[in-house]
Amino acid sequence: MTRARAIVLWCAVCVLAACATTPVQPWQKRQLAQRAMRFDGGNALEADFATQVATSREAARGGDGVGGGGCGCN
Amino acid sequence: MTRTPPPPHSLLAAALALPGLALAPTAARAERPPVDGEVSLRYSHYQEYQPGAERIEVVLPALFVLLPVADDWTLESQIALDSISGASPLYHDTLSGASGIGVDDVRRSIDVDATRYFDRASIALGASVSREDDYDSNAVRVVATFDSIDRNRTITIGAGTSDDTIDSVNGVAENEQRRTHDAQFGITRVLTPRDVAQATLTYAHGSGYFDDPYKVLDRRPGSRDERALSLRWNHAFERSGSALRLAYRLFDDSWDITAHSIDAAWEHPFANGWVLVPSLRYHSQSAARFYFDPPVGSGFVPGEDYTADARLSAFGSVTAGLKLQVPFGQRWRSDFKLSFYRQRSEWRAFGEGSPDLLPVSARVFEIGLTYLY
Repeated sequence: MTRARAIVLWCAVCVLAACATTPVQPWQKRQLAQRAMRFDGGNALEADFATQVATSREAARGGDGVGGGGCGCN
Repeated sequence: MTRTPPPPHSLLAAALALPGLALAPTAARAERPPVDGEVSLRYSHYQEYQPGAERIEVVLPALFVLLPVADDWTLESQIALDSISGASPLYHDTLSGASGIGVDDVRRSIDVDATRYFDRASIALGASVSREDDYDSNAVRVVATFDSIDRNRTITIGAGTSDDTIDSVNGVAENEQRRTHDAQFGITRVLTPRDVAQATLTYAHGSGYFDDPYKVLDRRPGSRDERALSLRWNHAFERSGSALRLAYRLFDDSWDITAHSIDAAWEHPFANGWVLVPSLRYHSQSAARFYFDPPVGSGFVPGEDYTADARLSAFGSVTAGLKLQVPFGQRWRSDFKLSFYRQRSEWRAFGEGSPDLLPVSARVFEIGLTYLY
């Protein structure tokens, strides 16, 4: 487990910090601004329901936000 | 190939403000200045079953409103009403409905988030309230984001707390309490004009009542520490206008559960503005250290932790979904989504699944309507 976590962390650091990419200019971000490029897919209700389905059937949660409320656990 | 055009002013404004990429559920979506208002209605239907029997059914109408206020505030609210009915397992895959006692509950919930935007930062305050016959929850959160000067990197820091009260209808749990504190740290990075990535760490510490009062012999530790690391990567295809969203989450907790989840969605626009979104998810988890295989009661020692809740067993699951999004003019769009979920012990990765459990399946149908203004 510790080893798996270390590998994943290392990958994350590589992707987000070490990659020496050329800085992207504002006028180059048109495609990134599409709703489809949002991490929640651009639909809050759809993303929340998918999370609710997963957390009510499985033991894992988290990795997205904080301060969620409710059970919905049947 | 063209994608459904959003209101004309918004795409350029959003592009200039990137990384403007919304956070996932329950967080304040606070990573870009407000440009569009939104009203969404969604109806979801969930039916779960196992071989020979139907289990829980959930009907969920929900409303989401995003309201830009002045130039630098947004208010977001989400209201949902879950109606839950049907048979739920008493232990392993033995259902409550078999003894004539099923679940019949309504959950009412509201989330409100207010976000203030600054030049290269934002701060969001949010609250959630949820009410069921047997479970009340109140939560608050604060999430701040900080952009680099070139807006190619965003740091997200958040903290929240929730207070839950459990009052089971069978009298097993009476006014039991649970309190959870959680925190998040995330980095979002624009890598190229077509790639953006995000890494988020979350940590939650809960203490109080964790037993499931409806499960036979269930007794769990009085605290739970959960850690999750999620990695997300989105890629836009220039020629087709498609977008690929990939996500991986590593989870572990103080109950000895380790889980891996992989999500992929491919959003493909057609020339008439319709968008097709196939998606696939795989999840695998190990069992909690106090989960015991069938028959029920095997391994049970009075006064020690024990569960026969199959959700804490070792298994793998696959979800396959297909969504069709149809626009109406510039501001309206509807979508229809069908997905299937299947959970099997044999599908666990990196180890054996828990034996002697029936597979669990579910089908989900969703229909949504969104108005952007």
